[in-house]
Amino acid sequence: MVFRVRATVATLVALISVSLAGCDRATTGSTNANDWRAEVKQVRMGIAGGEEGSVTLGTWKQYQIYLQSITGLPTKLYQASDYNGIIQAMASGQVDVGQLGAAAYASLDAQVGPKAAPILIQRSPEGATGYYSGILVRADSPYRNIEDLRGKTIGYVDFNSTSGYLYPRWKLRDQGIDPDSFFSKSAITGGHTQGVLALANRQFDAVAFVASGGTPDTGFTSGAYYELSRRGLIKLEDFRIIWTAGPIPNSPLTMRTGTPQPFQDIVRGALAAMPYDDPKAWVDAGLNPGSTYVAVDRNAYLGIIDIRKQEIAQRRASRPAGEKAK
Amino acid sequence: MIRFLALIFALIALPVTANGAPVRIGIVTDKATGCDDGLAKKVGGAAFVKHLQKRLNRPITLCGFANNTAAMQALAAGQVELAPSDQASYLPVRDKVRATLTARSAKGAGRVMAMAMVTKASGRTAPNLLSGAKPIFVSQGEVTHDAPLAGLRAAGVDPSKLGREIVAGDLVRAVSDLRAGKGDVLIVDASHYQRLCRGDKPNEKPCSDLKEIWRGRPSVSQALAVRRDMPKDLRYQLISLYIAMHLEAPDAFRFATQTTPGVASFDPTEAEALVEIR
Repeated sequence: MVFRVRATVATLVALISVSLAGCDRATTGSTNANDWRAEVKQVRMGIAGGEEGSVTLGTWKQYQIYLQSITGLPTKLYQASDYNGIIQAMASGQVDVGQLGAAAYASLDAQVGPKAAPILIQRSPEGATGYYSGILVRADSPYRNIEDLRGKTIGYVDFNSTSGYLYPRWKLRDQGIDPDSFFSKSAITGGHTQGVLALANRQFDAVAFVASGGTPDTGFTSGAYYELSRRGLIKLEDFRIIWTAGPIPNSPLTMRTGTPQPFQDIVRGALAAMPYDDPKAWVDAGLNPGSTYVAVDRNAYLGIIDIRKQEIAQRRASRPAGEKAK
Repeated sequence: MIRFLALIFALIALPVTANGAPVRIGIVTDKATGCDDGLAKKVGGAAFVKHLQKRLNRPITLCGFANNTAAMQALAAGQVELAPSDQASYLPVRDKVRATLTARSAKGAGRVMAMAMVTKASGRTAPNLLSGAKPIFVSQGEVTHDAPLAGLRAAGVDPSKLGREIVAGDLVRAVSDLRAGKGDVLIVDASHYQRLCRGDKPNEKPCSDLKEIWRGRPSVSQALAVRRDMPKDLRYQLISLYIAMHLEAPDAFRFATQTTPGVASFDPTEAEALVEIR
């Protein structure tokens, strides 16, 4: 009898073990349990300060409020002073999600490979997913086309800026112009806003700039040049666009892939749903009404990744002998 | 001993957490009805089930229905988590379910957001007051004309009851025609609206003399719907998986779109995307 009871207890204990093991798998495997919240603890978002200043910050503050309400987690903004700051913050795991320009993503990709991935890009109401690079001059200057800038000075935005450095230089080469010998002098201004202000202050003959919210045919509505005018810091009529190139794939929202999968999917799904679920917050974030987010992957940026490699190779080739690579 | 055994039985009887419960996806098929773990193989949906199962880390079960109406009834009754719907099947259960995803065609402009603007002096305050009004369009394209008109139709405006159309040719002329009273309502897509009304100078409000009486998108004829009380986490996860399915799992995407060829991707959608006001 004692043996029978013991055997029954042993069987039941074994059954419980199996049952609980099953429960454990179910819980561990459950994407909807709050396990990922315990692991993530907070949402950390990175902003590149040089992009569009207050507009970018305003956008991210709306994202912050929105994502906090979705995830129930404290959501923090980390602002970097330049593109490299946000690249390094993502590469080192200090932020989970950030909006990088295409070239900045290409740089991040070169550093961490699949540890970070583009997840969403903006699509305009008419379906476009790209923006433009342009060259801006002062309206009171004699420059009317790119050839007029031969031997003049140009300001680029940042080595990691797509529209403000990488793409225009690549496109100029494509058009038979070597930007390193065509311009008498070039320098990095540190940001789109800084670039336009430097031109206003006559520090350069021309600057590379970002133009979005339209096409060369329709005209543009977004970018630091337009935001500075809205803030009363410049007048659009004091400048002239003499060259444009694009479209460039829009800046991707990028996430670290080492974070829990449910976290990545909830953030991507929630942000993609934002213009439909909360159109007011979308517009309050400074995003164009009618624009949306669409999913994107690394393939969309292969062209930019390749252009970046070409640019680095060009820089190395043109560096004086003995000078160390940056 | 009896207490001990009772405790053991109680532990065994603990329910598996709801989080581990299967996600039941409704499909319209003539191959089977009801939820069946073997249905995926029968209908060629193994890759789809595998993809969702892997990403959600939950069992996925396909549930077959003869038509969208049966699928929507099951969704409203809580027997599936996601199911296909159309306008007719959605309306009877719209208090319990909502549209959440729609297929985007590879061709065409998609669901372009548009706005209807009148002069403040016109006295018109809503789209239902546009009967007889002469509409002004920027141009005669799908984005600038057809999609905005489809959006207005979904908002209850019968295009046949509008006055004679004016196609201005460009935005400046279009708004000038409105202000000059040549037409009564300017109907523009969101991109043109942005260029018209955003302003380039501090505190500039180029549309301050105009009133926006409508903004919206064309309705959809089909959507994937979920229950309105679905936990947010799961809805956003499903949105995330569907909108990127064409990139991340092409085989799964082919199955998910097999009844609607020519689909480029899935888009999220507003809850009432299937509703047309009549």
